[in-house]
Amino acid sequence: MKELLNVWFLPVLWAALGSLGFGLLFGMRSKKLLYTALGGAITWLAYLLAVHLGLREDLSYAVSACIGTLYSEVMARVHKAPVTTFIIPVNIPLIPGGYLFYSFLGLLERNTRQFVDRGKYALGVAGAIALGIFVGTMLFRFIKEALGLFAKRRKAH
Amino acid sequence: MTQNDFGLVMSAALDMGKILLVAGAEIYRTEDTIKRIVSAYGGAGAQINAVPSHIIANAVFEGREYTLMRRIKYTDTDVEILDRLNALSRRICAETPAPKALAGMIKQATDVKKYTAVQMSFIYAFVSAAFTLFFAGGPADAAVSAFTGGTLYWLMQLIKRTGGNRVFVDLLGSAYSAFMAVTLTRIGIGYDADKVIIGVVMVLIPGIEMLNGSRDFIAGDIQAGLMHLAEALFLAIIIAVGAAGMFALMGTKAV
Repeated sequence: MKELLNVWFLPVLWAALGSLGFGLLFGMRSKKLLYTALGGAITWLAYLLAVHLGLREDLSYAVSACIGTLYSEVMARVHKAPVTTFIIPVNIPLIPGGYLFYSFLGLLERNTRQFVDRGKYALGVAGAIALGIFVGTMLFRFIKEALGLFAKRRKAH
Repeated sequence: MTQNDFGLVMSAALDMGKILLVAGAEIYRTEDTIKRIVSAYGGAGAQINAVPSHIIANAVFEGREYTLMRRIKYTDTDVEILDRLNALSRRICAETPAPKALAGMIKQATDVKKYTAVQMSFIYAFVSAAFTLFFAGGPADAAVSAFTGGTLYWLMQLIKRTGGNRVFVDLLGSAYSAFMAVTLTRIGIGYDADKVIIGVVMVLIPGIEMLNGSRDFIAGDIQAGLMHLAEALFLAIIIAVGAAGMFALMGTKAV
């Protein structure tokens, strides 16, 4: 029970609050904030699940970014807002800001190993997230097209 | 429509592009918006080049070439403005209102109610605390983090008011965060200065620039991607310099 709380529930809650906070930082208002927080939770839960299922770490980032993006695309359609307004705050929990910071701190403290390790990680994760977002966007378009074709065909009959 | 009117259209389209980029729109969205507006008013062969620092646009109307440029010196992500300008650009393309009215329409669309300074400082406190907790800090660390983040906002406003650019704001901001985290932990209010710093630094760290840079590369905008990535790495160094300098001054070691 305690593990459930500490390993799953709390991190997801903090991720949701982090997304909500960045939504606020970016001047977001209204109900959209709630959906942004929910998106942050979904994204981080997806990441935790992916790692739990034994996926490689960078792949986990890509997969969760992809899921966060699909969610953002749907929300953008629902709220008639540009999709970036959701994609950035929803994927915030994944962004390796900490690694970027520690990497350069390592550089300055002549800790080359820390610099290289964390720096590599930060760049790799940023790339993985970007790829995940890209795949998510393409996937959404494919699904939309496929559904469109399906609907048209049904109408014809 | 006269050639003069078309000049107004070009001008309005670029103004809109500039506001979009400042508010955090992607390169392709910005270029696309300008192109659509220019084409909607009969501009032929519109060519747009947008990068994070400027936009150049060229179009031909009734045999005359128009080339305009806008310089961008800062970013201030605002999703509300993005949202409204997106709607406005669709409206402009569908209805093609009188060119003279465009400037007023853009002004009206960008006139969003921003959060007040007090609200912003609470938002900073909130974000800092949330990320301290996210990076496995305890409740006491989160409290220190919230206080540091909340006061950091006022410090940043002060530096901005005295003419400091983002480099200076980030440098002093991270030094301040390191100072507060170490001091308050030494007094015994927080447990782990590290968790405090990383939470507060999340509002400064250019993670979004790094992500956007990677997205630019994937979208094929190599130039913009390089600029975003270079900016991110440079700002990350600056933030680390601020924190490491403060650690050195206070005689502690990080991590």
